Amino acid sequence: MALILTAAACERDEEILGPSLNDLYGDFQTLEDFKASRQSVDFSADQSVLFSARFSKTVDWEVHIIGKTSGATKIISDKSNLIDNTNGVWNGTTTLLPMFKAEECMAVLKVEEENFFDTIPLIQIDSIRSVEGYLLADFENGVNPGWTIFAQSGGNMSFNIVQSDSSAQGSHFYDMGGEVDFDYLIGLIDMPASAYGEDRFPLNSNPNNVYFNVFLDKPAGINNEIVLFQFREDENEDGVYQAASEDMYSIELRGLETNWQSVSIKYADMIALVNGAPATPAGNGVHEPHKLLQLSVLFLADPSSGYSQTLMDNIIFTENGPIEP
Amino acid sequence: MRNVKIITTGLLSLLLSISAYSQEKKIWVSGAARGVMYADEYNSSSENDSTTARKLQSGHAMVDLGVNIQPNENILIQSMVRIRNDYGGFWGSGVTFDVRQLYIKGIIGGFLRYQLGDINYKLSPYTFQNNVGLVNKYQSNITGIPLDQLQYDLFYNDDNTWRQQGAAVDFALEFSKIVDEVEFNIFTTRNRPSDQNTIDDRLYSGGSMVIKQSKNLNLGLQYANLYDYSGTSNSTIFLRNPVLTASAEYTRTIGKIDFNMGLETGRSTLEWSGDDLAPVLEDYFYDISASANHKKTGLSANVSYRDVGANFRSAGAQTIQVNYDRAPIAYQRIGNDQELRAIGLMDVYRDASLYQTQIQAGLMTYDPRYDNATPYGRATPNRRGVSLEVEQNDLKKRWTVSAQTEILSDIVGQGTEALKGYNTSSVFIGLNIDKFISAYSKELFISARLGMQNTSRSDEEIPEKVDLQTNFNIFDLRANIAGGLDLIGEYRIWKTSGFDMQAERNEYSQIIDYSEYRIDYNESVIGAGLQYNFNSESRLSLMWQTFDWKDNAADALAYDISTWTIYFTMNF
Repeated sequence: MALILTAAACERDEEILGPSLNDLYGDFQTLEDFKASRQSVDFSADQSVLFSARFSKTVDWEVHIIGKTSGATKIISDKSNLIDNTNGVWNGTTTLLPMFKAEECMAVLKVEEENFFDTIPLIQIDSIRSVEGYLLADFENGVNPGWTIFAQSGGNMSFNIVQSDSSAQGSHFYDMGGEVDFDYLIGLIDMPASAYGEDRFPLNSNPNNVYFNVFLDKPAGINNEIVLFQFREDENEDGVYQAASEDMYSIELRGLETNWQSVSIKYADMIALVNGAPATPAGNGVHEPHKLLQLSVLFLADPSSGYSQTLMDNIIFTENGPIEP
Repeated sequence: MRNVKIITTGLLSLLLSISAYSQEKKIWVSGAARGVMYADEYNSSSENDSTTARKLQSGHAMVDLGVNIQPNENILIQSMVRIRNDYGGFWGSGVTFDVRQLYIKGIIGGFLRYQLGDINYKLSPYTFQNNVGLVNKYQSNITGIPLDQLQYDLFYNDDNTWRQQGAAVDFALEFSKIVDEVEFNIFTTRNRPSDQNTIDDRLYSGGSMVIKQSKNLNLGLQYANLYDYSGTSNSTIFLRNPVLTASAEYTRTIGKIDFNMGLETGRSTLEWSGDDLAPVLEDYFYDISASANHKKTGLSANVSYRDVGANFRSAGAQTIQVNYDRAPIAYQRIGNDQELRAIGLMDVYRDASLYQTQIQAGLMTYDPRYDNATPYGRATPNRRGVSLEVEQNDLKKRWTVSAQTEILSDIVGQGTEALKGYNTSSVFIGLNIDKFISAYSKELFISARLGMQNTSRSDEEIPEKVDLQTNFNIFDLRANIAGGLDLIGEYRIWKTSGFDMQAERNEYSQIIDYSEYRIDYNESVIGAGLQYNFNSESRLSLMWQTFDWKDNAADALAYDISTWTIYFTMNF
């Protein structure tokens, strides 16, 4: 008997074995209606919206929150029979750009496998959340006078800030477009640290903690765009970039999608490029974000390929991870 | 052909040498011989079968020659060669020569027994034991003849041992006080060889210690572990399945009744070290039993209660004899669509290729028709409940009657909190008619067994109510005609109908899904024959039987197979 008691004293897992039969074969019903915890929200004050619902079985569900003005979309999803504070909280972030604005949003609950949809009254965003990071340009306040902007004398040139509800962030973006049949370069923007009142950009010295982020949008019909970002380091901290002896890392982007997308890359993953091909950095080869002297944005296209265009917004450095729009 | 002549000449020389040495009683030959002929005739009334060959003949003659060598009184060596000739071979083209078994055993120092090579071993029902499934539990006169030979081929012995290859050591220590004796048994076997690449050697090792405190009380510890021997390949994942149990047995005679109380309890662990995705399955069991035997009336009874956790895994105790993932050899594909034929009673009783000889980790596939309650024997996981068995043997050997019932349930629900219940019962009566009629001197024995098994789950109808019912009835006849000549007969019917949700398990033996098991089937074997017993070691049987199979729920062909069989068996 002592032996039995010793064995039985051990804990035994009493959870049901295998997947729930109810989840596999049971009828689908909503046991608690789809609801939101508030009808207006101030994300800048760290408020959030809690969605809730309860089903009769475990299903794959999605809540789509769509900005009425911006078209911004947030998708919250899970596989469960309960939507609650563990899986149904919206803190103002965006899944599909553009980012939310101060606007009305509709929320739709989808359970596609059961062909079930439900909505709730509109949710008002009183104030959007703030994104932490070192912002270089969101184009909301015009052109920084410290920038150097150059555009070729091509056809249909547009190298300027545009105001639009469809901007990825805020109400303005930068439009880079034109047809240049004599050179790859259509236009460029140099953004030196001095334009922000700094000797060098005040970034974390650990390149694994620093992320470069930008929102880009390629209009439909365009397939020849090349967006090149150049990061010049002032290794000897003399205030001048020496091309022959100091590092310049680059990001070259082609084949963008035809809607707003967020591009993020870790500083440590940037490479040196010469004419688009990987090359050995000219300087010490060490990624030193705290010595970044200037960011240049170059918009290029094959001169024989005709008109090209790309929209750009929200150039920002973040720490410890990519931007969460 | 040349090889056959050389081997035959060699064997003759060996036998002549043996007979010469035999006079000194140090070398002798033992073994068995067998001749079998099957003539099968397949019939199906279905329009969907116009292509299956109707008649099939097969058979073989075979002899097992075991040379026993005893160079001194402490060492015995046996090497057994099997020579088999499948009918249809000509001048030896169908002859095969195999080493059937090879072992060395002996005693060191007068107390340490050892055996190397082939060993038959078992420990306890929860650690290491070759469990007989329900479908094979009740042997009969017609189906039992090929089944006996099949079990002989597979080294399935009445003592429920598993044949393994390795080494075993036994010894005992005697004491003058408190404890009479302590027995130690240790073994290690190789379950699977390494491929020198990605598969490790898999070993099965363990042992037991039995403390015989007195003639009334025995205490035991049993340990068995199936494990990968790291370093024998480049594999980085190593299976471990240790099982440790403790047991106690108390016997006492009060008046005319012998009482016995038994207990076994223990824990198991099944893990795949190095595999981050693999679970660690741990659980325990306990099994208590009490029995009484009243010699004066021949009445005996046994009652037991057991609780075996859902994650209890013991490879040596849970390996199933029949591997239901295999397909039968005879009429393997039938019908115009050449579909695989499902295993039937005929195959279970005569097709050795369906049977398992290797201990398997995890839980093997089982067939709910042939046992849905305890497919892995007494160690079937996720079961708790009561077993009761009552038997009465007439002291004048006129009858034997018995009844068994086992009422079990899940411990943890499968996909639901509702638990399945399992009820298995059977009653048996065997009558020696000749003992009732003094004027009738020839042996006449008839018996009948009526059995059932039910699986049900209450309060759950997702996707429909679980209710699976199996009925099995077995009727036997043996009537002596003259001298050693007997008339034998058997009627065996097995029916299963209803619905169950069958668990589908992953490579870690965890349930990942279910399949709907819907069946309305019956199969039967009816046969009769003549058997001539030359002596207790050799017999000749001529039998006819027909096997009938039909499943109304599945889109499977109904068919029957009639078989004439000649069977000669001899042990020497």
